[in-house]
Amino acid sequence: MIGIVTNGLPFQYRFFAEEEFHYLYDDILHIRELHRYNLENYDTLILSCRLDIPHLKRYQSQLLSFIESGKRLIIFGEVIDNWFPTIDWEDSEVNFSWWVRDGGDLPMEEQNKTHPLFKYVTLRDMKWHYHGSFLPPVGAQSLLDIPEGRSLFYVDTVSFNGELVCTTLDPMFHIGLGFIDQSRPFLHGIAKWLREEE
Amino acid sequence: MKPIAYVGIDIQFARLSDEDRRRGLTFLYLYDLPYADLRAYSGLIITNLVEEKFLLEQKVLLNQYLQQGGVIFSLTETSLPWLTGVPNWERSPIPLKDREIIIKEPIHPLFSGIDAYDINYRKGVRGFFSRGYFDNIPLNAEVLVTDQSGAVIIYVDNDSTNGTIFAGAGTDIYRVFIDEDNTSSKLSLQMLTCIREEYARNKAKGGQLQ
Repeated sequence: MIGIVTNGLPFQYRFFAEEEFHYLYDDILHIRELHRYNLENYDTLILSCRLDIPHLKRYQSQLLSFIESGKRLIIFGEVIDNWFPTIDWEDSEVNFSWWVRDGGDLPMEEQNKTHPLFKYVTLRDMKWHYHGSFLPPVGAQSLLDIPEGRSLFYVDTVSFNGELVCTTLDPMFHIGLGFIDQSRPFLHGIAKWLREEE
Repeated sequence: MKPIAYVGIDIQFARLSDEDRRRGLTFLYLYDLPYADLRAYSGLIITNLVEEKFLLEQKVLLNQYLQQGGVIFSLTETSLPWLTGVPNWERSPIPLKDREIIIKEPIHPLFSGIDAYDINYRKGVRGFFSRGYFDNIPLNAEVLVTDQSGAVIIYVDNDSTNGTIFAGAGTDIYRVFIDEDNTSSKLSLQMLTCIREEYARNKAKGGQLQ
């Protein structure tokens, strides 16, 4: 069972209206009512990008208990105010116009290419822009690095009993707003990987 | 001078800078709305980072503020009727790369001195200003910005309530052009000025603002 957490924002509402992504999740959980759900029913919990930080802090213990019980927690987007332990987030200026310049590029490189996610996701699918980066804990596997050696996507199976999947990328936002075409194959890749692992 | 409240959930993209605060903006956390006295503000900017279902629960509060002559500038891609007369946001069928923003004549003070090119393009990328439009806007609303098909992107409504409602089917026009090196950077300050002027006008008309 895969649950996805929403804040009821307009872009999230429109993302959930996209039928092609319904297979990604079994239930939609509202962040304001997280205490009402029995998270034991879920194997994977996806936190959509742009969730309200005070509510994430309010439910920190519940989310920690979830991952410590051996489950998988997936966090999209910015992780600010240290709301979740072990995640080292650093803001960066957004380069959203590299692709309109002659010879422009947004340097990033895949890492740990044997990870099963790469059966479904290519570098191109992950390359649009980013708002910040992570320094993964020792022992975690980065799947996507920027030149400074920081990560845009990592999988951490060492810090908790369960698995933390953490990416700065924000596909639900872009699918809901209807721009950045790569966000669709990227999220389909995530969905196929998660469903294959079930 | 009363501050203007910037209403949203608390995420990185909703947080105000020192410069914003010096301009008279203050952050009003969406979920604190039921506990706020809106008479403290000369306007509300309601961002796209809001839970509309919650706003709908606060509709009485928002209506009361408007009846008292308040000013609400909505940047929300609306799908629920929490703000008087504002229709549902619709996604434009025109591809972003082809969509052109037209500032209507006569030019409203909000867009005074702004070159339409500078809001059509941001660092060479088109589509930041708007991805949507409104159909069936209130009868006496004044249209400020359309696309090339005439679809309404921003309007102002002084008629439906004792206050003023600006509604935008675009992006966060307070934020998105704030650091640009062209005429679009004036938009954020002009937005605050327009809100304050509307508030003063409504007050002079006899609104019950304190």
